[in-house]
Amino acid sequence: MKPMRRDAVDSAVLRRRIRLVVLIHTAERAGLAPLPIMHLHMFAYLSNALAPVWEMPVMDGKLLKRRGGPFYPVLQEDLDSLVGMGVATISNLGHVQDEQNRWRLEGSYRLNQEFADRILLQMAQFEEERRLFAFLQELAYALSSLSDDDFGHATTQDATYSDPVIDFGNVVDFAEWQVKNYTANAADQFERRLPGGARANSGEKLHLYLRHLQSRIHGRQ
Amino acid sequence: MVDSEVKGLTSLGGWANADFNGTALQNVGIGTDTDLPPAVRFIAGVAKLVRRRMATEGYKSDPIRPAIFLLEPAARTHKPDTKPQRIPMLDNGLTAVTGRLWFVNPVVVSGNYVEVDDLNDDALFKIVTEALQLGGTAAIVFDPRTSLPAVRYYPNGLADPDTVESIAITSSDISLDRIFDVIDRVYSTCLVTPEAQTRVGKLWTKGENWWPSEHAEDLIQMHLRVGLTTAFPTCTVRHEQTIVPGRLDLEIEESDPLDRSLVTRYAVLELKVLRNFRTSGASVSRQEVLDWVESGVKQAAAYRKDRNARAAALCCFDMRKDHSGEHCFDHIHTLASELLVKLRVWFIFGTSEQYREFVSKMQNR
Repeated sequence: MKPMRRDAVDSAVLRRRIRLVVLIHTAERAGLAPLPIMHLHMFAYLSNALAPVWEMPVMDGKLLKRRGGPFYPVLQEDLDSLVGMGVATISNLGHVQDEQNRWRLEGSYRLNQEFADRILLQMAQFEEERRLFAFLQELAYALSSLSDDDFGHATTQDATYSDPVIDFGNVVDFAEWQVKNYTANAADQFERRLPGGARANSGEKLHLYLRHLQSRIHGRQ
Repeated sequence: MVDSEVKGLTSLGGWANADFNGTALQNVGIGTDTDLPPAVRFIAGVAKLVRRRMATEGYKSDPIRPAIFLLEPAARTHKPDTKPQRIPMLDNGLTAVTGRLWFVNPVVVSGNYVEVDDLNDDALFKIVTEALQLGGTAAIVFDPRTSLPAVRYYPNGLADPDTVESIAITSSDISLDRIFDVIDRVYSTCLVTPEAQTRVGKLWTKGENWWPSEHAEDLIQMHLRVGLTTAFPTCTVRHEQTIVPGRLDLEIEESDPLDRSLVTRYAVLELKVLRNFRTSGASVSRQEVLDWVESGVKQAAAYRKDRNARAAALCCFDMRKDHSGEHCFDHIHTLASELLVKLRVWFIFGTSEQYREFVSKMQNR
């Protein structure tokens, strides 16, 4: 395998970090800030799993299945870097031990508007980034209908993450080597399920997916 | 098993037997307005919420005090010893809204509130403008004290109480005449001349040559959606639905406040842009325009039947050089009448000079 060029690596890191800034920003606009670490990783996971509903490319199509819910080590590194750069701030700081007895930082994030606004302003000049923003914003609004407790249980019911065929400690792959994205498929199911034969658009499908997820968390399905 | 299922394109894993219909029936309409401006979504979100709450049994025992909704998701409080309370599923109507100051996002599916005491209106406004320093934040006040509960929208915030608009929350039959009144307003404020059109959304590539923009139809549709959603905030305005007879431009429907699955479809609208020239400047024949109008009537009728809507209309936006008024419908009046399709046309001017000339000609008649 050929090693990746340095500028390609830098570009990938930049894209990831921009996406992270947008994740936190859209969460703030939805009333979800400050965003606890695990909620942020959950949001990132759903933004990958539900990206096809918005006809967006999946940024990261696989992750390790953990009992505690989705956790992206690379995203966490990026997040720590953003805090180091002053773009994001962390509150309610603490440490927790994960299921593999490793210590990790616990806290809640929000953006430092002074720096983040400049990034968001630049981003808004590109059509592709505006589409990403619109998608993440609607997903954040849909997520805002979950309680904190629902957030904690969301992956136990998410169509892809809860797949009993995949054991904890194995890889959940929905867009890397496989095309089995049960989450996006389930959201697409709503297109033709509305009363009177109306057609759901992408925004409505995101909200309906989250509403269905919530009813499963509460055992109503 | 079909191929797509084998490949995982439609498979649902553990959700294979899920009751998607149940969820869709209970939550229809949320997020449909995803690409509308936040202020418009805010108005629609609050109007639907208030209407829903007022229809519940619980509303009878709610405090008879105003509710203030602020388009500001970051909650804060004016009382040092209290913490805002989060309501994740605010839109289900199960939570009392009155006597509270709400912090919501534009979709109003969730919110945080702080209780406000029994204060006079001035003191209430001062909490927002002075104690919280949110006088410039868009706000909606729901006042249940009047015999007909009032909902008022302050686009510039409560610090500018004179700029206020009334919001309709009572459900009432929405006729085509009311819809046309709204389109008239949208036309005169946003469409009639290039000056009325926003800088980012011009309808013309070269107005002086009568060359419409390639986005003209999309822009007109967007303006109409904003206008109709604002005028009928308890309704859902769906757009560009692909259904069996074709692609339905606009549909105005309203859910029952308590049972969202009971939907009244007031109207379907087919939109057509009539033009002499394409974006490139290539000319369009007279016959093509006549055919567009005729197919518009047939489409509107087919959509009304498919959607079981109460009414159907063909709305033409005439971007041609010569203003022929209603004559563009001369060849299809009988057909439209048979198919119960109402016809309306609005003329869009390429320049403000053309508009002034037209007005002066009309005055001299």
